[in-house]
Amino acid sequence: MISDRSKLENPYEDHLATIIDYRDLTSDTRYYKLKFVDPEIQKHTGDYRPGQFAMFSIPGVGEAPFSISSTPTRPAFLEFGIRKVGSFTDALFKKKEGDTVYIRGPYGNGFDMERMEGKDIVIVSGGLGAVPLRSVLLYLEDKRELYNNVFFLNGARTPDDMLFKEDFLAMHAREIIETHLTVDKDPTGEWNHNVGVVTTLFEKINGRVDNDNAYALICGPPVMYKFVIKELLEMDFSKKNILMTLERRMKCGQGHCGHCAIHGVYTCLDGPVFNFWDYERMVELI
Amino acid sequence: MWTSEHKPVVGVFGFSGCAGDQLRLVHMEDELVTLFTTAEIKFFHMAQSHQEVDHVDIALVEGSINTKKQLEELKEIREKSTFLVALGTCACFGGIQYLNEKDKAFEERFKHVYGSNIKKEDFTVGEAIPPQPLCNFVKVDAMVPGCPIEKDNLLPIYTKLIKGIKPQKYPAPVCVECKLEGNDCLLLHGIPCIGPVVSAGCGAICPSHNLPCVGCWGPYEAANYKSMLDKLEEIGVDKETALRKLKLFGGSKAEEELEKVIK
Amino acid sequence: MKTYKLMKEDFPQFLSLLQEKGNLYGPVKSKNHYSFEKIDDLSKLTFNYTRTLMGLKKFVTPPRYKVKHFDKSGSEDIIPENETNIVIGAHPCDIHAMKILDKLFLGQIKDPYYKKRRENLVIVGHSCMPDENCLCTSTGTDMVSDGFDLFLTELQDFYLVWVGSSKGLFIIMSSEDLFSEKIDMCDIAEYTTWQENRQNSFKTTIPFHLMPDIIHLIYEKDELWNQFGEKCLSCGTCSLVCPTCNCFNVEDKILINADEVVRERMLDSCTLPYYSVVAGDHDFRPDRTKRLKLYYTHKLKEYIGKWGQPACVGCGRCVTYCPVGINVKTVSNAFYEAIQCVREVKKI
Repeated sequence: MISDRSKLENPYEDHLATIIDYRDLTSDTRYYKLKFVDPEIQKHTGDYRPGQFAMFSIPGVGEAPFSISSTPTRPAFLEFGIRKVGSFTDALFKKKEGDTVYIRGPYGNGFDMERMEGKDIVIVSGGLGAVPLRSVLLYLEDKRELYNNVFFLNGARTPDDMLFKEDFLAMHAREIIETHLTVDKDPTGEWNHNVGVVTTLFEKINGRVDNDNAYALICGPPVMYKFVIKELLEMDFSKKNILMTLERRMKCGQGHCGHCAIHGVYTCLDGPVFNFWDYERMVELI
Repeated sequence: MWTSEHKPVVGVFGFSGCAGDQLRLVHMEDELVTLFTTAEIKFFHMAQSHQEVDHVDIALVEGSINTKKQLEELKEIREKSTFLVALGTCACFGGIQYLNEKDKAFEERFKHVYGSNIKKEDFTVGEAIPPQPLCNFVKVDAMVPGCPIEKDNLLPIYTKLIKGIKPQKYPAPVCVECKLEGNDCLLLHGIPCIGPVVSAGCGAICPSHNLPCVGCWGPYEAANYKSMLDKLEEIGVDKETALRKLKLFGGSKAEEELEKVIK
Repeated sequence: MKTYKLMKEDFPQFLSLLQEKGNLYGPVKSKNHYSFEKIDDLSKLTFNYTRTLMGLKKFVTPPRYKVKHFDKSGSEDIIPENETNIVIGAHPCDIHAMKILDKLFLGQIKDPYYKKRRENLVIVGHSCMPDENCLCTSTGTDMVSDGFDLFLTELQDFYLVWVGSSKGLFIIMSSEDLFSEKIDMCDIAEYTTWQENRQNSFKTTIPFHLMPDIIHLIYEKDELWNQFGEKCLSCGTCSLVCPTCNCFNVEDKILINADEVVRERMLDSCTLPYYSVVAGDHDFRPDRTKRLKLYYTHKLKEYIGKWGQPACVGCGRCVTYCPVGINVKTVSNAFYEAIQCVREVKKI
């Protein structure tokens, strides 16, 4: 990964990466672990920020952006959680261990982790939203001493739908980050954690967050934002400290193709992480 | 990079239409050999005599559905195929034979053409039904409109399909190709071109020769018929002529949309 | 800026000189309009024209071009070769549009395909007279002082040749006897008279500077936008002919006769239906009004906010070519008129 794309002769430069591991996270979402083929490029694998994304390319199929799920603090490989929703992911899901894809990136602003140092952090995710935030969580686990209280609230429809469930259960057990997991419904009857929508988890952290010195990081389905943001505003979170990461169609990743434009911003350059002020300013954001 | 486990099985089927799309396939001289070697072409109504439907990965289906027997066959093809492509404007939208479908009953039109002495059964294989596009009966995975289809529209989709890649659609009207060809708009010169409501794909061949688009690629997915009618009226086309123009190749989609507009 | 005088009788020689330097393109009449085309026969060149259908963008972001090639051995970028393409006859608005594209494609992250095509391009501008669709005095793009290599102002018996770059200067230097540095007061007087005449010929002005605020304030008043959304044909013409619209789509094509793939870029338009569709088929802008809002917010609001000028250069292409009359002029006017009505009724 080369984070300063402006230094490149060709900012569209991409590199072959090998799938070194993959497994199904849910019925339609798969975990991929990749390593660059070229050792010189592999050296720079950790050159990205949590919250950034990479453009995948499969010749004949095209390109598509995916949030990075791994943390730069563990730079030996890249990890992704990818849902099968269209023709690109259809082709990607046919790839097996040892197969390759082209990757370029990282792109987007990502989360400014340095700025959050010494603060409280509340991470709220729902469904596929766990993918970019997993990067933040692993990062925080590795640099835990730099941050104050860290809370993680994650929701899914059912236990079977929870992405990275094993990772998050282990995270819960490790207690480096205070982790609260919930499911809307539990048809299995084997779920030992909370049942209810993600906002029902807020009572577990109520009164324990230093609102003036706290950041909230949110990612999830559009419907989730409204309710989560309402909770956060009630907790007196500063609007600029409510950060959310979004999705748009994009063809280039570097502010040229125009597809991800929302008002005057490009999701690929100025996002995908936006704060609540941006949201109020740009009605079409979510 | 492109290893696929097995050679994809392709079937080419034809229903009611002029068979021009199948003919267009046979006429792809430069690609024909590859067409037949990269895939196993099991059924080809036009190029083969032996016909027997078995599982196919890709079904290319031409023509509209005009009889009950065809409908049964279509359903069978759908069941036995993984990816079904509607080939040509008849298969995609109903084609010319759909014209005036809603205005007069089939019986009445039949009598008008053949007289009242001839029985319909003598003409049709099985019971005739009003002509319809494939998508009105079964799920269509991709549409390649055209009258006949254009090689450059089919090949990008076909080459993806035989590699097991789902093609993505990105609908645009004739105007896009017209501008890229460097033409200005015929409507601005009072020529009744219906390009804005017609699917791109032909390369704006008629407007490039100063002839108005007549719509043979069928309706554009985001066609704005209301505005198109207003524009035609503005340049002096009477409503009846305008509607006839829009319906000529518009098939069931144009019919439905126009009904909403007229209401 | 160096300025020379080129006598009209020497103009054909100047054109031949350009032809020696590279591939010459210029405005020619084709069917009902004008277009920048490759010039083999100098007699086809026409400078008495108002606007071409497509601006200069076709030289730097062609309608469809290959960016990458893949085969079994790997991938290769398709960057154009070094060549010199000289386009003569570009008007000030065209040159301003090119400056806007340069800002985008040659900003912090440089697009390699654009960069090479831009480096290959030599722009020889030409003066013009406006028609009723020209809005460049409103966008501040009626005059141009950079962004070209040479610029010709056509006067009675001679051209004033303004040099905008070292490339332009080299062209002059290579045939110095054609150009004279002696510009007397009479010549200057002729130029200013011409310039005043030109300024007085503009018939349309639109206070674009108010548009950012107005669009912001009426953004959610859909009744104002819907009048255009209902009429819009989603045909893409406005974007395709707009000299500053740069949006592109990318498509992979598998070649049938070989195991090869080419990745192609093609001009796109935000008025087309699938422009904002994401994976899983969620569409952020499912209706025409929403897509037009994006177009006009980008052109007349956000760009002004960011760069202090609209992303419209007042060339009048959308005014001329939109078949249903949706363009920067009608949209801005409709908003102003709606506000004006209220002012009159309420006596504000």
